[in-house]
Amino acid sequence: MKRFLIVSLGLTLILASAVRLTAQTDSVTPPAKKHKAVINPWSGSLIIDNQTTEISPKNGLDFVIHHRFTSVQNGLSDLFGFYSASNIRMGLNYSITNNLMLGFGSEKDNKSQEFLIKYKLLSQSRDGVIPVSVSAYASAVISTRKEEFYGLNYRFSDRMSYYTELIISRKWYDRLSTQLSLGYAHINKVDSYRVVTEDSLTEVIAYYPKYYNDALAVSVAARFKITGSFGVIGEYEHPFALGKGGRHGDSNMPHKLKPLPDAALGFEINTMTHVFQLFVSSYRAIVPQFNMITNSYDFTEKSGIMPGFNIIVKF
Amino acid sequence: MHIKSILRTLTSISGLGGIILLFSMGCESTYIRMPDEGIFPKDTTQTIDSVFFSQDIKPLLLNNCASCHFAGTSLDLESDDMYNSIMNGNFINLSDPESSRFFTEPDPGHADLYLTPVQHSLIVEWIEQGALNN
Repeated sequence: MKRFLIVSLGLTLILASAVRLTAQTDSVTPPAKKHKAVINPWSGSLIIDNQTTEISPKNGLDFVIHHRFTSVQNGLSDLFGFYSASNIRMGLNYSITNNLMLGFGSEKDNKSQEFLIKYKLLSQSRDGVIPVSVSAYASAVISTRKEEFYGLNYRFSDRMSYYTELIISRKWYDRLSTQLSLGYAHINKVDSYRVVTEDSLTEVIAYYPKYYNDALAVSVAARFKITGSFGVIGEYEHPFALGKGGRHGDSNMPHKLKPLPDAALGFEINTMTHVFQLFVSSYRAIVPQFNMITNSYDFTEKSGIMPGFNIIVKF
Repeated sequence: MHIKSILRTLTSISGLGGIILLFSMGCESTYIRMPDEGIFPKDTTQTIDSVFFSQDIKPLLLNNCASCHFAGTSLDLESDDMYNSIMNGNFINLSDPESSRFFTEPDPGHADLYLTPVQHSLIVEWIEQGALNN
């Protein structure tokens, strides 16, 4: 997985040099902007389970709350999942410049402590010269589970997982914005199957990987504004697991689970300082690497329809 | 104002540095294996006893067999010594309970004339568990 490290480091270095450049241009007389960026292509820095190309303006601080409930399959008995176990993430994002955002968040499931960085490479211009906005996003997660969870040969790096993404978006007209993104996820140590085989004399206990360590995902997302502050939002993400699937001559070895795609639909209410997104989706986790690699919820079944919401508070 | 911008720069540099450090923590592609992994010999003595001689087998023999196999006969199934009588008479085959002399003599099916199938299988189970005087 050296290539991932190289790609990630490369990306981070590009971002770092971009900051320096921005810092330099900031300190010199700001050049007259030739192409003014379109206004509010997205309401906030995220849409359902995905990042958007947007970041807050320089020195802007966002407080983000994500909530994912259990599926709607139990009906009224747990009020369509609202009373059952939920997954929560809270995070803070800070925009160092108009183009660069750093953030930290903590998620309940997997005890994920996420450090993220987003850089806006291009902003769509009002005059149409720059047709799209482009952003790069990367996150590194440390899972702070107990050491025993990681079993034999524990190393600190077992806790790490990574995600990088390139996002391209376009605001078509006042009401409609869409985006396409390509993401790559990696988890250093994935969960496993415990397989017990017996014959008359011996008992063999073996562990086999349950998930792939890497996945690539393509996702599309859209927002359609019905009024100035109310819009319908939706997204679809298709992950593709990378690597060998299992059973390399070992008949006991079970197949690794292929991640299932996510489909989500909901609505968004947007004020000057807040963004509320209420939706149903088939992703239970909130940090993207766990969704892309381990998602087993099928959105075509009731057990894969889970309500959730995001709140972004802008300071 | 000046201090603010210095602080902001420091925060930004440390934030970026932190993230670069995190990304350089290294990649591995592995999976969780627990310490109980391995090949183990099967422990055959660890079966749990569910049939006991004193409470299951003894009353059954007393009720169904002792009227003929009374104390003093070649197979004493009446007295307190009945366990020794069975074992010393070599009536039990631990490796193949069904072919124990207990069931095959004086002719196959003799015992089953006096035992129900459930009682028969209870004795087989007791033999499977080692035919202990428990």
